[in-house]
This record gives sequence, structure tokens and C-alpha cells, in this order.
Amino acid sequence: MVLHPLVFLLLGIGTFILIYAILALSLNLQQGYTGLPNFGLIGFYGIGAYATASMIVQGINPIIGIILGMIIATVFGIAITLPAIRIREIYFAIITIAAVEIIRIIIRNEKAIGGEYPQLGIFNIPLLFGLDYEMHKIVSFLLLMLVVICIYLILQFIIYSMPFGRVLKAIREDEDAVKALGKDPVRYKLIAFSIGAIIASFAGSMWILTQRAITPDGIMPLWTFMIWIMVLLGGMGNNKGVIMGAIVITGIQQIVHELKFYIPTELLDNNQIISLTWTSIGILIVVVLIFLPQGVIKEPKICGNDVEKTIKNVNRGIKGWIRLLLRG
Amino acid sequence: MDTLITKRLSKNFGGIKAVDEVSITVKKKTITALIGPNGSGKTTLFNLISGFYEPDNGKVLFLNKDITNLNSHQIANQGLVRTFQIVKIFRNLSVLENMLVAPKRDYGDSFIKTITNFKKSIKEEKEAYDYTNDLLNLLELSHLKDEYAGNLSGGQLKLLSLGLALMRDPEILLLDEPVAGVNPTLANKIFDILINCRDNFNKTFFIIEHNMDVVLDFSDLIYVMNRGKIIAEGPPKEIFSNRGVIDAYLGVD
Ligand SMILES: Nc1ncnc2c1ncn2[C@@H]1O[C@H](COP(=O)(O)OP(=O)(O)OP(=O)(O)O)[C@@H](O)[C@H]1O
Ligand SMILES: [Mg+2]
Repeated sequence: MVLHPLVFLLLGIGTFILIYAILALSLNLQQGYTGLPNFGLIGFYGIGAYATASMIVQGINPIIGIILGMIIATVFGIAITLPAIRIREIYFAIITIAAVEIIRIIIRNEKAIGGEYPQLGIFNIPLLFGLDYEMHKIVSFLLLMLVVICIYLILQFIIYSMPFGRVLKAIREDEDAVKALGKDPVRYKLIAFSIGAIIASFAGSMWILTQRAITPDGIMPLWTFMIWIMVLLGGMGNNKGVIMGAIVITGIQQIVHELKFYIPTELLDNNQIISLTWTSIGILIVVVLIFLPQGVIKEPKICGNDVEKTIKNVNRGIKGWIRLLLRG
Repeated sequence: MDTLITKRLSKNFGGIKAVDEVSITVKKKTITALIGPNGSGKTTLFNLISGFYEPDNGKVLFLNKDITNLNSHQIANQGLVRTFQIVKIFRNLSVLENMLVAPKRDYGDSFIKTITNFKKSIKEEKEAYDYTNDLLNLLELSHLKDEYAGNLSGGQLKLLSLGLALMRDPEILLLDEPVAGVNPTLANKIFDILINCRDNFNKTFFIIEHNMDVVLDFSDLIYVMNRGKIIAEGPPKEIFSNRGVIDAYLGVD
């Protein structure tokens, strides 16, 4: 099969967008809903990516790598958040940045994790299911689409249909009030952070399976900030919004990345084009935050109607369940 | 029976003895008031009882159990619920969602239990929803059900925070100036509700209140605090003829 080059290109951009969408959804659960400013998000992605890659390289089933990544991400997440979870948000943010830089530095230097040449990363991951290159691209895209949809639906379910999700938002709003109502914010935060860590780790695993290589530079703090921008742009606390943020920001980046093949170097060289991307993203986010401080799509307000629908639909069998899952 | 007892409870902030060896008893099925000039330590006492501050000294007994070293959420779970002088609610959630955060849930409070018993958790949700509607009616907030809590007026916020506390169906409710900013008609109505809860559901209330008319009309027993100490205790009539109390309010040493 020979794909049209444009289709090929779009599939490539699409997979990038979908990976970022997963990460944006993860951050939205932690920061958008629970108010846990995770500035180390990309590290959890790195854990998933490296765990999966090193299992594959050793000829072990990638599923083991995916699960291993999730377990390590959860344990690591709890280890850094438990001491930090009671303190002010700003310190929490700093601790997450620092902790994740440690991961990157270890990965960069440790052969056991970072591969034969840790500075260069791990590459030569085989194509999915032994497919040819083009089919791999198509299957990757579809697989990621499925993953994003599933994660989106799960998160929507937590927020719309589980009292748990409501308490997360309440913790973000006022922790003392939550305590006074007999709920332990620490427990809720740990669970929310862990779910986010698992999702981020899974994004890393999916990256390895679909893009087939990872370098230590792929887990620079810069990428965490990118995901923050997506969440801020799309709308903190709105899962649809943050997916849209991922589409816009990754779209801009990838399109500029392609444009550089068409712009003569005398006009703009490579570095100038990259700087231009960052500048335009910077301007975009500043403009959006001035005019739409809550992002393009606001967090949905849950009203009497929504609760009544939940209560009604739960007794309507499969149809009701589908309605429950697909709303929001 | 005594619902709440403190024994020589003390708290210092730097050099200030905010609460100084306070021993009080709140009897079951009473509305007990705590009054005193600004800065006399009333709110601090509430914070000590409800586990928001750790006392330097002394004990708190609730239903004969020592709760001095429990966390605030554990204390709330035992049935001792408090509200805050400066209202703490969830501003970016609807009034309805605010109310639905509050109740104690057998299934909904646990992530795993909600998933494994989803139908039961929704049954809890329905009960909570019905109860919310009743309470909002009672507090005259029904028309604001779908409004962001952050858009409520000061008085309405006080009512909402009272609503949140009532959602938990507590054994004892500690209210820190519950009707400050609420119009007098509604304020009276609220105290009627509290009296109803006391008489028909055996509930107990411990209330900080600056409005003397309200205190005089509705409380069974009054504690007066000044400079961290309890300076008087007794039924309303007695308290308001007490020389020391009048002096405390007029700032005489
Ligand atoms: N967290 C704190 N840190 C330091 N000092 C505090 C703290 N909380 C209260 N105080 C001090 O303790 C004293 C008692 O304050 P508290 O708030 O308990 O008074 P109050 O009786 O509730 O007054 P009001 O009627 O104005 O609400 C005050 O001098 C106050 O400044
Ligand atoms: Mg006070």
C-alpha cells in the first residue's frame, strides 16, 4: 500500500496530537480538577516510556512494560507527593519539578535504564504487530484515538457521575471546608494524583509503541510547560477543552515544523522558525488568558438537571449507561 | 448527658494566650451560646475543638470519647461538625454541588466502592439530592440551586454553609456567627429550625453569636469569654445582669 504523502503527514501530526491529548487529560485531572500543580508531568510520561522501551529491547512483552511503568509512576508519584501534599501549592509545584529532573538525569546516565548509550536514548523499537511502516502509522493513529476516547470517557464519568469527582473539585476550592465535612483531602489527592500518573505513564508507553524511540531530551521540563499551555488554553477543568488545547498547540508546532522545509533558509533559518513557534504560542496564551481567563471552554457547571439525569439513567439498563458515559 | 466537654484547653500564639484553660460543658439537646468581645478567643476555641488547631494543653471529650488528638476530618466523621466565621464553601461549584459534597456516604466516599457498587452509590446520591432540595427550601435558597456559590450574597453564603453542615446530620453543630449578615426575619426562622432540630431530633448546638437579641431569645445556656478565659456561665437572664460581663463588653478591666 502507498499512502498519499499528505495523508501520511496528517497521520503523523495526528499521533502527536493524541499523545499530547492524553497528557493534557492527565494534567487536567491533577491541576484542573484537584488543584495539584504537577510541574513534573513529563517525568511520569518518561517513566512509562522508558519502562516500556527497556522491556521491549530485552524481548519482554510490552504489556509488562506498560504495567511496570504504571506501577513505578504510581509509587514514585506517591513518594514525592506524600510529603508535599499538605504544603502550599507553590511548594508542591517546585518539588514536582525537582523530582522529575532527578529522573531525567538518572535516565541520561544510567545504562541499565537509558539503554546502551543513555545520552542518545532508546531507539529501534520494532513496528507494531510486525506491520509494515505505513500500516504501523495507520494502526498507531487508530489505537491512540481509541485510547484517548477511553480515557476521556473514564474521566468524564469520574467528574459527572461519581461523588468522588465532586470532592476533587471541592478540594481545589477549599480544603478546610472539605475537612470540616469529614473527608480526608490527602486520601483524595493521592488517588487523583495516582490516576493522573498512571495516565501520563500510559502516554509514555503509547509514545514508545507508536513513535518507537525516546531520548532523555524528550522528558525536558519544557514539555511539561507545553502541556500546561494546552490545559490553560483549552480550559482548566474541561476535558473537551484541554483536548482542543492539545490540537491547537501541537498543530501549530507540527505545521511550523513542516513549513520549515518550504521556507528558504535565507529568509528564516531553522532556529528562527522554532523561536517563531514559541513566540506565537506565547502570544496566543497571553491573549487567551487576558480575554478568556478560564480558557476557551469553561469548566462545566453541574446543575440539578445533570444530577437528575444520573439518577434516572442508572436504572435504564444499557441505554441509560451509554447516556451516562457519553454526556458532558 | 454531656455531649461536649473541654478540660483546661489552652492555646498560645506567640505571647498571646488566645485560649486560656477553658473548661466548658455542652449538654445534649441544648443550644449553648458562646459570646465575648472581638478577639476574646471564641473562634480559636472552635478551632481547637474541631481539630483545626492542636491545643497546647488540655482535652476535648465528645460523647465521652477523647478526640483531642484526632484530625479534623475524623472529628467531623464522629458527628461533630463546625462552620466557619469567614465562610468556606466551594465558589466555582453550583449551590447544588456544594450541598452534595457534604453528606457522609457509605459507597460514594470511596473510589473503589463507588465503582463496584455503582447503583448503590447512585441510590445514595438520590437520597442526598432529595435531602438537598428539602434543606434548600428550608433555607430559602431553592431558587439559587443552579447558581455558582461564589455569586451568593454574604448572608446567603452563611445560609449555604449552614446547609452544608446540616447535610451531615451531625450530633453536635458548632456554628461560628451563623446569622451574621442574614436578615432578621430569616435569622429568627433559622433559629426556629435549630430549636426544631434540638427538640425533635435531639440535636445539640454550640453557637458563637454577637447578636444579643438572638442569644437572649434562643439559647439555653451562655458562656462568656474574655481574653481567652471563660468569665461567666449561666442562663441568658442571669448573664445579662452580670457585672463582669458588662464590664468585659465595655472594655473595663
Ligand atoms: N492563627 C492565628 N495566629 C496567630 N494569632 C491568632 C490566630 N488565630 C487567632 N489569633 C489571635 O488569637 C486571639 C483570639 O482570636 P479569635 O479569632 O479566636 O477571636 P474571636 O473571639 O473569634 O473574635 P471575633 O469576635 O472578632 O471573631 C486574637 O488576638 C487573634 O489575633
Ligand atoms: Mg471569631
